[in-house]
Amino acid sequence: MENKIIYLDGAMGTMLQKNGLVAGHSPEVLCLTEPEKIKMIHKAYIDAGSDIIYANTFGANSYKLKKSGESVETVVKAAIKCAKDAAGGTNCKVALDVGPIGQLLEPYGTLAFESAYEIFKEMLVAGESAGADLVIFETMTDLYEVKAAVLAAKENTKLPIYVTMTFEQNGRTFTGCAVEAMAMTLEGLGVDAIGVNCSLGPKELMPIVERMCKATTLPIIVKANAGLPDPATSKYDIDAAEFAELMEKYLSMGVSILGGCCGTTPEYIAEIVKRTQGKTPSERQITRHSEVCSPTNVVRIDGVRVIGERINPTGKKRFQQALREGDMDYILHQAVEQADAGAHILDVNVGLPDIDEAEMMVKVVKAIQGVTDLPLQIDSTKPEVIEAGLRVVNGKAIVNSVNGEEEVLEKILPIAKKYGAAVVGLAMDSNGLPPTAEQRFEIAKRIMKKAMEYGIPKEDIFIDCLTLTVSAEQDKAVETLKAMQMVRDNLGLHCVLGVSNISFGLPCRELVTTGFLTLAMAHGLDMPIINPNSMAVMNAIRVFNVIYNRDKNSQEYIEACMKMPQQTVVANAPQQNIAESTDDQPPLIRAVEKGLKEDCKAITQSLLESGMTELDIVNTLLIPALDLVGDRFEKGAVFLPQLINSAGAAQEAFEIIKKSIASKGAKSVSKGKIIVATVKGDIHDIGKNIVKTILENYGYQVLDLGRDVPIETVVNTAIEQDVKLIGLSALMTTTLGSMEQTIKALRDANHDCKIWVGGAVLTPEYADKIGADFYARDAKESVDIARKILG
Amino acid sequence: MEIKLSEFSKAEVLQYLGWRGSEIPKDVQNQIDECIKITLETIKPRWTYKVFDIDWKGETPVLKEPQIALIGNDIATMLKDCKKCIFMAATLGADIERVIRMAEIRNMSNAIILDCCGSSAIEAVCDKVEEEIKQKLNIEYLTDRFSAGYGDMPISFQNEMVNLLDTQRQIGLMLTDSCILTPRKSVTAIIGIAETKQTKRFRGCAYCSMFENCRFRKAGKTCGK
Repeated sequence: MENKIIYLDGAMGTMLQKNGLVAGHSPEVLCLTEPEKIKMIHKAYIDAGSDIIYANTFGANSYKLKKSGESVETVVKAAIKCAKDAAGGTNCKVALDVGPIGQLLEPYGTLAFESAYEIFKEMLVAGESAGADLVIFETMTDLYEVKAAVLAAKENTKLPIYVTMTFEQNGRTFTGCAVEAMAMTLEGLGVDAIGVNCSLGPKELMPIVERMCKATTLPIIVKANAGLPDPATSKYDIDAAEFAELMEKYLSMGVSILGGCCGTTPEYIAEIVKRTQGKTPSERQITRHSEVCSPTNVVRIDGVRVIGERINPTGKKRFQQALREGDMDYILHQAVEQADAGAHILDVNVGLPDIDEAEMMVKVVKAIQGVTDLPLQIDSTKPEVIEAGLRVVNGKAIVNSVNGEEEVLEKILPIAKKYGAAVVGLAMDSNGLPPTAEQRFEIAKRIMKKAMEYGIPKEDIFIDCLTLTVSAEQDKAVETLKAMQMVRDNLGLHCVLGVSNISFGLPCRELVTTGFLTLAMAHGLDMPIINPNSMAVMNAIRVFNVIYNRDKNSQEYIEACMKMPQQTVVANAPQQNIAESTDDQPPLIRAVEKGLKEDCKAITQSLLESGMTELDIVNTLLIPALDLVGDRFEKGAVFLPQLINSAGAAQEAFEIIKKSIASKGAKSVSKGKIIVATVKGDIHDIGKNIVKTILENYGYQVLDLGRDVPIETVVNTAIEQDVKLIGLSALMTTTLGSMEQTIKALRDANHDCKIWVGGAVLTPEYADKIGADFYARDAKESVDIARKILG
Repeated sequence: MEIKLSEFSKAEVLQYLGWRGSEIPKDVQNQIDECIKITLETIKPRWTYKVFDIDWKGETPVLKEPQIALIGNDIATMLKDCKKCIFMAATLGADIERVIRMAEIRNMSNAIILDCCGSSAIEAVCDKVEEEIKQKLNIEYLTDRFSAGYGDMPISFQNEMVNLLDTQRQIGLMLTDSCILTPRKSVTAIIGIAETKQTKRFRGCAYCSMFENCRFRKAGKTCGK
């Protein structure tokens, strides 16, 4: 660990103001127009004792420079030159200073991870060739943006990397990123130092930095503001002497890199140097833990942690169909359902022989990250799929899996290391799964040794001792248990295991699975890969936690029990009012009308069992029910939430019907394909999603291209999938242009299709003007259009 | 700066949902109440503001420092009695967006209600912020809140708002290329500091350039801006 203090500089913005330099849109351009003054500021910091100065490149990215008309290369080159000229003849190093791009990344903004990477790459390459000694990413609030930045630096330059993020007093950034998640993710990505800058003064930052000091072995940077600003005058409330006094306290916490942010001047840096020169930062004692994370959720493996197994097409026809059709909602439903059921980590497997697995992995990982904050486990044996997945994971993931084969280890371990992921090692090799516990243990040992050789820390190595079905090899189940115990006791590693395998081929599988799970946990299994939606499985874990004294005072167990009877009612029993209703409407129609999901499921199931065909249920019950609700909606007798509740209930019925059809291997009951998309530039998609929900209910297969959809994606999908009806949505006047261009592109491609449009700012006249075939006021009118075109 | 919101208007939520006075079943009432509760628990409202002197150049209000003209006749009319104006920005943060997205997967109608709750909540935040600024600066009369995209002020003026208020650094608020604020449930606005009592004129849909044709509005909803 770094034992000498490194002094950074103070604020650039504050000094620009003091020197009467009015910052327009891009203060970086001052390096071209006023280089001498910029040099003077740098010089003042060097004289004050800075070991590293930040070049005036904070916002010199292509997005922020757009208005200035200057290129990234020109500005970065000039800025680095100013700093290097000032540092000439001293030991002071020059950092390329890189701030946030200025646009919010997906999923909450429109900037793609890959585009962010390119924007950073341009700056970094320019900075390195202009002679920067290192790069500092600062004032960051989005861990995903930082990841793009760090990868761009690692893959395109040799610059050492410092990263500081900006936290609020609650220990989180604006996007919710926790201190520990930042530390874990960036240490994994191999940066050289991390820390905090801006937003708060040295006093307020202390608890945040204290947490960071415990979470990483990396050197830590503190670049605090000069206290807090007065909102009226923008003046900061701490003078140089007090600032230095507070900054000195960080040495005893083990912080070794000190500087100032907003409101600080060379005087502040000089004071810090005066007070602390020659002193040594304390050694930090750090306990390493096995942990994974998303930016907002850190999961420590210090008890049984459930890895949800449901995002996996193996043996699941309905899931396979969803993957082939790109039905992201079905997959996200699996993610959210498992999160609700108590999964801690989600396994993500999208392996199907006839799809582009790497591309699908990226799509699915990004989509899941938009709806849950659970850390992910990337499940594939293909190095290119693993890498594609790890690249777009926001946080620290697990790779599932490697095995004892030399070739596999050599291919996959470097990928896990590069992205800072934990790794699951299967206790098998080219000879297959060894029969005895001792042999599996030997392979586990080999995997551990190799992973550590590649620089993967021991706490990030998990072992899967594997189990076969007990009905086929009854004498082997015990070997799995023994092997896990050996791995836990002799190697000190955590054990992962796909538990459900054990019961394959036996009746009442759940009994065998949960029985084995309990035994396995007692033998060292703490990361079971299971179905968290199974109450029996989750209860077995709760009981285990009580018996092993982990659930103090049985609190979680008792809480779960209190919820149980209710859950049973919700899950199994249809609400009685339907069956007892005196109305002469068929029960399914009543259930849809009232929006009763569980009733819809149960009634549909029993109708199928009684021999009614899927198509008959759709045509004679579900669609009339939806028409009925649609009419009432038009008349104002029910309003939007009720319409959508009915649609949701009908959707439950459709899910049962789809499953039934998929299980027979028959083609789905599609009345035709429809594309819906919110046009490029627009991110308001709730209206489009309503339309989609209703169209699906009417039996159409809806290809939802999402929001902010590039024109070519609409055109290509329409042609490739031969879609005859396309719905476009826009909510802003600023995005109507891109709607018009999308329509024009579809027409230019000569694809035979009808286009309808909708959205708050549209009118029938405007729809006509931009070349749409139809205008729909709402979801109901969209259905009318679909019926007219597709039947 | 942060601000705590303890309530917002349910009537407004119903209006955004296009309610036209039909009987609301109890389960739907409960559903809406639950969504209001979730919204209040999820949002992390933050805000920032700056006061600018106005340099009147004929009929055009121009900020004194830096020299930036406020575009359009409507803003000039609103500020006609003012020598100073406030630029403010507020956001509910991104968490509410994730909650809405999760709801879209679990239960679409909850997602729609939550979305309308978000729109109502950000308006309530703006009201509260306005009150706070009024007290802090000891101001008696304020004009309405006017946002880029209202009337004849182009939505591209959002760029200036976001820049002048440094919203990215202050509250984590950014613009997309099509001038949409992200996180989505956010507002920027100009408010005039006046010496005399002001009549309410520019607020919400009535002064939006889409007023005539807005189907959202005709259905009793808003685009959330």
